[in-house]
Amino acid sequence: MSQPQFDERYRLDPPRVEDPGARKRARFVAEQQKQILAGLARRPANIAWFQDLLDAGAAEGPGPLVGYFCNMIPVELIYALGARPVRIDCGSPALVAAGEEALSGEICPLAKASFGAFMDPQGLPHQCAALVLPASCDAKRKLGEVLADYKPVFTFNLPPEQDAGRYGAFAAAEVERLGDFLAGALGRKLSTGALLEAIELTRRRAMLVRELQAARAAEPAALSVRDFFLVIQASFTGVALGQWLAEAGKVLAEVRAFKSGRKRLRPRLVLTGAPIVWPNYKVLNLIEECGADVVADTVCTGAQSCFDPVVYEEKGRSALMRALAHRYVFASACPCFISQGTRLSRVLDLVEEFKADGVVSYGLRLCQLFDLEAYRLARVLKQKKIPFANLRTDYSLEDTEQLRVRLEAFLETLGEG
Amino acid sequence: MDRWLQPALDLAAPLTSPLLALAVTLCLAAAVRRGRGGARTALALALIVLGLSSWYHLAGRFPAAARWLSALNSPLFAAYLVIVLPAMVLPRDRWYRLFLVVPAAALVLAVLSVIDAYRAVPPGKGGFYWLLVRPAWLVAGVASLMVLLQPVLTLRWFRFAVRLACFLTLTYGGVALRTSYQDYQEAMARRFDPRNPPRGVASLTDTRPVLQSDARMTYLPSAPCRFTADGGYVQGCNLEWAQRLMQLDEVKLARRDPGAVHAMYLLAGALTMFVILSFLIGRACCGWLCPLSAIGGALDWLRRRLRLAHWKPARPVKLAYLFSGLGVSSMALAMAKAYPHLDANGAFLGCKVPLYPFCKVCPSQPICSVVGRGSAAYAPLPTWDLGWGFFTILYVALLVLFGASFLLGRRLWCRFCPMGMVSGLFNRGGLIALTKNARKCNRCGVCAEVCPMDIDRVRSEMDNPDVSSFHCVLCLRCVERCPRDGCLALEHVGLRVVESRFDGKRAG
Repeated sequence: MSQPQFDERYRLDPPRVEDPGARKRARFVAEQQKQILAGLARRPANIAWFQDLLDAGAAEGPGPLVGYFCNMIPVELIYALGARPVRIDCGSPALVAAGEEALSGEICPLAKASFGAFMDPQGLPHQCAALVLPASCDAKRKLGEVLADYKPVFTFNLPPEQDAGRYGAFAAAEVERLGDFLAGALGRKLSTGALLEAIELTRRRAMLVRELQAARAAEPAALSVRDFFLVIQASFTGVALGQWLAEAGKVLAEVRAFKSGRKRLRPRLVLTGAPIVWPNYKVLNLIEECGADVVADTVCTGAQSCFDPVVYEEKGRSALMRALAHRYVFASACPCFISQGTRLSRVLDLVEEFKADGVVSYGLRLCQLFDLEAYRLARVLKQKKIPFANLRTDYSLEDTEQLRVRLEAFLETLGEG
Repeated sequence: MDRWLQPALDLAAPLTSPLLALAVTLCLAAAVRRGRGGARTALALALIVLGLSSWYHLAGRFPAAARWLSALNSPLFAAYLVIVLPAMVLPRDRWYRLFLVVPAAALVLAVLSVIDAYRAVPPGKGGFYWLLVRPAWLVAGVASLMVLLQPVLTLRWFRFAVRLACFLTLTYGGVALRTSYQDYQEAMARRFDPRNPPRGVASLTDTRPVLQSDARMTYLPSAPCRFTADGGYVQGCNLEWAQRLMQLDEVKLARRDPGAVHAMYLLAGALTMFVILSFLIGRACCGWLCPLSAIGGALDWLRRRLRLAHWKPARPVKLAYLFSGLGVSSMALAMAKAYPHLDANGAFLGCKVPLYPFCKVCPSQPICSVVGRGSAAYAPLPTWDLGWGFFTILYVALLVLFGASFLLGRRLWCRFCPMGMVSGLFNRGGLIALTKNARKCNRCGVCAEVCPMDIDRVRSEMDNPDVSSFHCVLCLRCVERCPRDGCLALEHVGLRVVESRFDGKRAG
């Protein structure tokens, strides 16, 4: 008999703090970002639908919500159990301070803000029936134990290396275990039929995101990268994917129909690095305000998050579990694995494919993983003579102007090459 | 039709020679490797075709050369050069549609050939004799049909269409695709000859495959079995050929016995053909053409329908498959060597040895003959006195192994199959290659997951762009399922034929 994931003996009463000030500040940050976006020259007609979804945090709908972190949780399992997955990575600068009060200051802003959201008894996480986190970085690995005081939590184990030959069976067994946990927490049974339907829906989402990315790369003026992220992240709110596909299809049609007629002279950038979560679009705001276009990204909350489909070979249960593991564990571009060549090759490939002028990496302060990977990324890109800028920052807006100066200087150098 | 077509066909005879196919593809590969322009390549190709054709017609004046050259000929190569090769390497632009006129014309000619053959049926004998079609037009027609179908089919359904066409041709071709009314009647007479009961291996000499005209023998790698209805369409697999080679009597050959010399010429031709074919397309025959694996594929389909997990054996088991395949075939070939020394009772050193020892244990013999002709063709169990029961035991064991392997382990059987294995030697270094752009790879491992041969190299290889391996049957399942556009591709003569496309449409 296997033991429970978290030691039952030392369970704590979780902190719940009514802090109307933090709530108000969070509201203010989101409103501010919405105002910035409202100033965009061209936006899809139905963008408000996506924005409202993200602003609300979770979509209205039938079925319980299951909160998850990161891009490595097989959400198809959650859909297949009749629940709605909602990604609870938090991007609100206002909640960082709240989380900091209970945890330490030396943790990455994403973990602190996410925990801050839990301390608010009215926060989004409290609508969830269960939570799933991957044991990716140190913060996520331990956050699960802290959050287990609030809700039933499952920490999804990852192999240390992305070697499907060596760890394939391990990862598939972990997916199976996640399925068992969810089935138990939700009191439902997992059927392969429902799983296949969910896989088909996410496959269509992948297809749509790819088409949208290709259309944007051909004509970046047609859709701002911020709206692109908005559209993608709206699908993480537990919205019915069919509904999302219909709305995003309209966006795609609009982007394809757009013809500027003028040659776009703005520098084309590939964005890589840490997750960029609504409403913290600081880096995206900066890049576009400085006059550059992000034509492609490897950000796990951007196009990268939906780029790869689940590919199954057979319809048996174990084969489907393996297929989920292949997609979510071995195809992941997260730097938490011992070696991460996929992200590097992806960056190089995107630069070539979309004829980018340079690469910008967004490093989240206190995330050692992205920091350490920037070392190799910078040197490899230098070898290939691809201009590269590393923007290391956190959620706060204090360093915005410094970053702006750095980015402007970087963009100036692009023209010279 | 023949009246005006025959002179043209005689002139185009060098097209049926594998030597021309080899020269053309080598020239193309060299041009691609060195980055030569289209005009220069076309000029070099024209020179090669003209030069080799004139040499071919000249060599025909020397009897010895003519015998060897004619033993080499096969309509397969004409269809390959004129229809398949261009379809594989031509860029898919507007001009490709212009090229499609060629297969369309070949298809029309194939239809005309059928009409022609039916018009030659003597009056009063009218009836249904399946498709009476000359082999050259049948091969060209099938190839053309596939080339014409390809643009509208996904890779998966295209493979299905090719495998179905090859299965039908190779399994039922012996009865349904005879050359002419005469040929059809002869085949029927042989089949219903009371002196010719189904005697298993012994009936081998009483049947005549369609592609055996002009004393030519077309062998194919993989398992186009000789024991299907009325001898099947082609002569057989390369192990039948290898057994014939072993049966050659050196003593007679040294005495220049005409029969032995004739057999020698045929076998030398078959060997050359086999090597060239394998060099051109590697082990693709196993993935696209083999009727035995098509039958096994039905078992695999059944397992998938039942949603049963497949058996993924450990490395030692896979090695055991490989070595038992090699062991059984080399043992059987050694026994074939006893053929010239058999006494009146068919025994050698007091031990009875069958005519074709490998065929006697090969599961293809019972399976393909029953699938092709029904239970009447069932070749009975070899008797115990044959090689002290060696054949009886192995017959049952291999039949069970075949069924179990395809039912449980996808194409596990193909790791045993000695018929296809030899072509695998040409998978690397030949003119066909599975390639990978590691920069586009996301390491998800889908290629290893979908591989029916359970090959891991496509996934793990990150340095060498050539990811072909000995066991690869080039079924292109990995190319079809890879979620990254342009990551995996099939290259022929150094040019991309098909590459992975997420949306499932065939690239090009």
